[in-house]
Amino acid sequence: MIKNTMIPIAPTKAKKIRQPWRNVAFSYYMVEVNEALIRKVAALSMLELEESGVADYVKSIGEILKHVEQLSSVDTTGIEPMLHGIDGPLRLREDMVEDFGRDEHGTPKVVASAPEVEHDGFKVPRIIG
Amino acid sequence: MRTIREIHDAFDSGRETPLSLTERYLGKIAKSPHNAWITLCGERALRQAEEQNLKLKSKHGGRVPREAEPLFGIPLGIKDNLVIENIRTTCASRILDSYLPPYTATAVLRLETAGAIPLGKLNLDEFAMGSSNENSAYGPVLHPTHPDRVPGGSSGGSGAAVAADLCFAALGTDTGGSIRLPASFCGVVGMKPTYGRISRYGQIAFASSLDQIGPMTRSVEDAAVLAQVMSGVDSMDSTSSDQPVEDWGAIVRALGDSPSAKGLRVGVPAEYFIDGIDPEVRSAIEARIETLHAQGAAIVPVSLPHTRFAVSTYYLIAVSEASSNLSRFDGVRFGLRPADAMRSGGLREFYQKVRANFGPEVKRRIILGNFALSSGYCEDYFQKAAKVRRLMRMDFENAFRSVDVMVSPVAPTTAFRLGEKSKNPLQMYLTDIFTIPASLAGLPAMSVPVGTDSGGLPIGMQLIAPRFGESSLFRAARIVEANT
Repeated sequence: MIKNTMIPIAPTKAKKIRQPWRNVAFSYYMVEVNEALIRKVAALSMLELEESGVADYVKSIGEILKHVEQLSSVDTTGIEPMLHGIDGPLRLREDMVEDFGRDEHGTPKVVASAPEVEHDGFKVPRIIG
Repeated sequence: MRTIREIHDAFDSGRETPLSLTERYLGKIAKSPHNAWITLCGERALRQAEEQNLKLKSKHGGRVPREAEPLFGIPLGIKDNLVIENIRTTCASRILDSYLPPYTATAVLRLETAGAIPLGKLNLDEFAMGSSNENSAYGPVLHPTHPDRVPGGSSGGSGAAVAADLCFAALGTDTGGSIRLPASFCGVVGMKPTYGRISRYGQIAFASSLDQIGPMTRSVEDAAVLAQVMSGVDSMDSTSSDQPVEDWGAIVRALGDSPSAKGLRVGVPAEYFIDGIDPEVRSAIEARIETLHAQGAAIVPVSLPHTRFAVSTYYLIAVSEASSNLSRFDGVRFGLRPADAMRSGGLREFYQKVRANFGPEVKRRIILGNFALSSGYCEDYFQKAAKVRRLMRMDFENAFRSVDVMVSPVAPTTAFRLGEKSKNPLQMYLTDIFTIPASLAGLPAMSVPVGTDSGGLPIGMQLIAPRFGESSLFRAARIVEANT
């Protein structure tokens, strides 16, 4: 999941911070959240923002990122990240085709809720197809 | 009638029938001012109720089949991020306004198989992102008794509907407190199971390593019955667990009306009784701890040292997972495809026009999540949070060596005013400070009403148990409930 959503954003405002009391170089980014950053991440997230809301995102996201910087004070040396809610492997099974049937108009139910349907399939604008 | 048992007794005696009960609830919903419902499925519910009326007479000789259908004729509300075949599911978002799912969530299917009757879909914060139910595209839900207050979120419709008696019980979902907080604010019982207990097949995902479905009810016994019906392995959810499910309903019933707390070891985490808690909330919880002690429980001070990092940890992880999960809303296979998107000159513009229809809080979290996962920042934000999450889980494992359950307030305050925190997302996030840690650690937890403050607003006590420790959780919750 992480790999697929990696987005390169140059850490332009990054600083290396030395914490001498730990005797190790420990880095975290004092990010400056500005309009350019918000617009850039929003565009990469395929989000259109209302112009009137951009300043609010800059302020609120700036405050949140400032708050979470407290995590840099936690010593996590040698700690495995906890990426899942369960211990051990996922419960896997063979892929199976399941027929969801057709609705009262004869359309396959799995596509019936699509914005547009044609020939039992998803109809998409030419820019996608 | 407060419990399923009482309803079933009324069915047995003929004082009430599934149909009369369903009709009465639908009538109350039509007159209710709370905005708790987004979509009703009244005709479907009446059809189910009629079938049950017939079945009760012809097949069961007028006696409720309690063993085979423990929820026979019980009208329920379903949070609108859980799908029911062919009934509109919106997630309180414009982007899913007209979505008709082709299947039913496993949890709902199991409740229906046990005889329950869904009345409709309940309002929530958009995609379950919020603590006050003010982030709904269908308008905020009003508090059941104080209309100037929020019901809590994100399962605000569920909390308000159960408290205002617009359904007998409801399903909520809990990612960082979304069942427990509205249960506390509205004065009902809310239960979040161990991660993996209840299949999430058919729950529209917010943060997959945290999301859980759970019941919201008027009694601990009913919460136990609903949780028991929904629990157990499901081949449609690869995270569901095959841990044995005990008869939690029977465990609670066996405790009777004046259960003893003898032998119960109750942990009181120091970090949950900090400055900033409303004094009335603190004294209500402390009084209940005293009562537990008087009933024979051993009260044990415990420490969860990483608690103060919970909100930061949670919000980095939850938004990261959300930004990934919500990438599926692209206007191609389901959901909204607005006219301006159709006029787009290219793919990027098409997606942006579609996704412009997310509400502001959802957009904020997608931006934050994609930022936290982005190259150059992932190590310092997402990965760091995932490591602190492990430390928080270790805190609980250490503390649970000496106690059976832990108790705390559900939230630092009672229900706050509409609009009070909606302009300050960080303040809103801090509302979840006591509910988030159990979510991060995947533990079962509950909110049980323990009285009201001087303004009449409900106060909830949180109980937390070890993983798959639902039996201890329900037992302790019943003891608290019986002594309130």
